[in-house]
Amino acid sequence: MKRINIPKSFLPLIIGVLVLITLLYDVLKFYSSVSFTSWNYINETINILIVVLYYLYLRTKPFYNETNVQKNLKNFIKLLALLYVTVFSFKLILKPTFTAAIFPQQPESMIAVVYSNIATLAAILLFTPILITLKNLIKYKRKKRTGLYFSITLIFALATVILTVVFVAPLDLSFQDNALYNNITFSVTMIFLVIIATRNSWITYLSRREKIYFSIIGMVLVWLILKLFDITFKEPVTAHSLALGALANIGWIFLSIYSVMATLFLLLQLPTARVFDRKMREVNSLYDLSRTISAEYDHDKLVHMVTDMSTEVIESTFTWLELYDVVLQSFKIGAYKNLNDEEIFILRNMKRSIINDLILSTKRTYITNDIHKSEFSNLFDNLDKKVGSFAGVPLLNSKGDIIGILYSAKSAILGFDPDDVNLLEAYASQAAIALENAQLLKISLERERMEKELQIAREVQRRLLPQKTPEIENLQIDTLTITAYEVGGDYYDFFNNNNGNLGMVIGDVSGKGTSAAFYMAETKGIIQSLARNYLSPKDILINTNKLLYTSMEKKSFISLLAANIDLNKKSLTFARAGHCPIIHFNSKVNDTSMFKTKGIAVGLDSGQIFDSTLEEYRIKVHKNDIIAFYTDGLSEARAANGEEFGEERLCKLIKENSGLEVKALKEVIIDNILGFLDGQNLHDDLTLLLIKL
Amino acid sequence: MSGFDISRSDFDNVTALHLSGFLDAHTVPVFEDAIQGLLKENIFNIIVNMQNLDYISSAGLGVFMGFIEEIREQGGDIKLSNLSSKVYKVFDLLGFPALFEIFDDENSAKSKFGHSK
Repeated sequence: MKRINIPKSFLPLIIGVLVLITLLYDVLKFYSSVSFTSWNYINETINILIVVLYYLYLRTKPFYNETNVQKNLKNFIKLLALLYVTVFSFKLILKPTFTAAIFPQQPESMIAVVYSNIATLAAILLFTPILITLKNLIKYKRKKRTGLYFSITLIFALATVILTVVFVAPLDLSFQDNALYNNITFSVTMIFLVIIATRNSWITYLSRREKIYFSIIGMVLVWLILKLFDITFKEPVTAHSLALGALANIGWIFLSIYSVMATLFLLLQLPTARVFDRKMREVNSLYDLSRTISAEYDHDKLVHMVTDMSTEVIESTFTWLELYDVVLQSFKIGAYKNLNDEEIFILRNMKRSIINDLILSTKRTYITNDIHKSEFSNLFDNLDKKVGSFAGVPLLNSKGDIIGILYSAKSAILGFDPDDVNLLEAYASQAAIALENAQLLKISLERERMEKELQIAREVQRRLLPQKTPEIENLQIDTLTITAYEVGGDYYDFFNNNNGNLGMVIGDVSGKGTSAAFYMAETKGIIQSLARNYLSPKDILINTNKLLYTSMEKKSFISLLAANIDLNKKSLTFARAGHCPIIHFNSKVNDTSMFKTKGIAVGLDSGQIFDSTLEEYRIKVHKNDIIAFYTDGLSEARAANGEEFGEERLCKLIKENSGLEVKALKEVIIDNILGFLDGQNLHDDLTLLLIKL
Repeated sequence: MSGFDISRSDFDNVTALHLSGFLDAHTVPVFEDAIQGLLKENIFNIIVNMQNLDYISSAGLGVFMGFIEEIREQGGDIKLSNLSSKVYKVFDLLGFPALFEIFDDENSAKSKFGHSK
C-alpha cells in the first residue's frame, strides 16, 4: 500500500466527514425513495474509501506491527467483545426493523437507518483492527507464500465486492442469475482464506497453560464469531452499503474459518503441550548455557554456573559437581546446589569415592531410578535429604579423560527418564568443553606471563651491561654477549678508567630469569661504588662478598673475576672468585696460559673462608698480548653430541689468530662457536671480553 | 634434556643419595625434595654420590648451599663422593672444595662420618 501524504491528524477528520456524507445519503435515499444508481456507486466508493483511510490510519498505530502472540490474542478478544456490546446495545435500544423482501435489505424506519449507520461504523472501526490482529498472528512464523496468498485473497475479495455491488446479488453460493459472478470470485477467495487459515504456527509456541486457557476461550469465541455476522452485520451493514456488507461477509467467513481451525489446533496440541514445553525449556536452557559459558573463562564461575543451570532444568532436589585432580588422582567437590553448609559437610565426608571410582573406570553415565534397589542404597544415609533416584554423568575432555562428574539427585524414585539423562549428558559435555577451554587459556596466559618476565629480565640485563666499551690509547677492547632463551645472568663492567688504569669485572649469577637479573643489578651497583674506594681486585671482591652475602638467598651465588690493567706499569692484577680462569696470550713467548687462581664464589660464605681463600695475582703484560675473560656459557657450549667447546679450543683460537685485531679475532671466535654448535641452542648466556695491548 | 634420578641407600648413621643424569634448573626440585625428605626423617649425615651424574649446573650447586647451614647446625654434614672429572671441575671452579669435603669413593666418605661420631 502506497504511503499517502496526508497528515495523521487529518485522517480521522476526513473519515468523519465521509461517514456523515454516507449517513446523509442514506437519509436522503430513505425519504426520497428515488433510485439514483450512479449516486449509489459513488456512495459505495465513499464507503470503501472510509475503510481504506481507516486502514491507513491504523497502520500508524503500534498495534499494527505487534509481534507478541499473547498481546494480539488479547487485542482480538477485547475488540470482538466491544463490537458485540456496541452493536447489541444499539440494537436493544433502537429496535430497528428491516425488510427482507428485496435484496439488499432496506431499513423500514428512520431509526433503522440510524442503526445501520452506527452498526456499520462500529463494524469498520472494530472489525478492521480484528482482522489486523489476525494478520499479525499469521505472520508470526511467515511461510514462503503467505504474502502472495494474502495479495491473491485481497484481489479476489475486492473483485467480489465490486461484482456484488454491480450485480446487487447476495453471497449465498447459489451461483444463480446475478449471483453467478460474485459467487465464483467469492469461492476462490474462500479457498485462499482456508489456506491462509492454516498458518497458525503461533499456537505451537504458546506455553502449556496458555494453550489450555486459549482453547477454552477459543471454543466460546468460535460460537460468538459464527453468530457474529447474522446478529450484527447482515442486516444493518448490508442495508447501509452493499460493498461493506460483502466485505464484512468475507471478513467474517475468514474469521470463522480461522478461529475454528485455530481452536482445533489448540485442542490437538493439548496432549503434547507438556512435552513441548519441556523441550522448549531444554533447548533454551542449553542455548543459554552454551552462550554464557562460551564467554566465561573463570574456572570457578563456570563450575557454579553449570551446577546451577542443570539443577533448574533437570529439577533436581540437589546437584553437585566433582572435579578430578589428575596429580592427586582424587575428586573434590567443585560446586553444589540446594545443599546447606551442614549437608555439604556430610557430603564431603561420605564415601563418595565408591561411586566416583565406578564412573572414573567406566567413563559412562550412572543412573539409578530406585536407589533402594541399587548398590548405593546407603550412600546418602547420613544426609537429611530424601534421595529416591540419582544420576552421575562424567565430564570428559577432548582426549576422553575424566575431568569431573556432575551428580543430580531427586527425592522421588523414577526421577530420571531418558530425556533427563540426555539433557544431563548434554550439560556435562558443554561444561567439559568450557572447563577445558578455561584451563587451556590459563596455561597460555601463564606462558605469556613467563615470556613477559623473561623479556623484562633480558631488558634489565641488556641495560646493565656497558652500552659501549671504553676507548683507551694503546688498548683494544671488544666484547661479545649472546643471551640464551632463559636469561642466564652473565655480567661484565668496566670502571676506574683513569691515569692509564682500567678496572673490569666479569661474573655469572647462579639461577636464571628475573632473579638473576636482580642480583646482577645489585652486584653492578655494589662494584661500581666500591671501585671508587678500592683499586685492588681482591679488596673489591672481599667487600662485594660481605655486602652481597647478607642479601642473597642461601642457594644463590655469583662467580666473579675482577681485574685491573695498569698501562704504565704494564701489569694485570686480578682475583678470581669462583669464576672461569683468565686466558693470557703472551706475545713474547707466543703462547697462551690459563690462570686459575684460588677463590670461592661470592655469596657462598660470610667472609672467613672467602677472604682467606681469595688470591690476588699479578702478571706482566706486553705489547700485542691478548687477555680473554669469559663465562662458562662459552666453555660449556655444547654440540649435539654433548661435547663441550672447552677452554683448550679457545686458547688455541687466540694463539692462532693473535696477529688479528680484537674485532677480527672476535669474529673468528664467533664463527668457530657457531660452527661447533651447528644449530644447537645455547643453554646458558655466553660472554667474552677480549683485550689486546 | 636428559632425565635425572636419585636412589637412596641407608647405612647405620649415614644415608647416601646416588645422583644420575642431568642436574639443572629443571631437575633441581627433585633433588631438593630428596634432601628435604631426609631432614624430615632427622637424617643429617648425608653422602651425595655423583658417580653417574653427567652434568651439574649452578642451580644444582645451589641446592647444597641451600641446606648445608641447617644440616651443620644439626651436627650433620653433606659429603660428596665419586665426582667425575667434569663435575669436579664445576665444583672446583666455584671453590666448593673449600666448603665441602669431597671423597673419591663412598666408603671413605662413610668412614669420615664414622670418625666424627
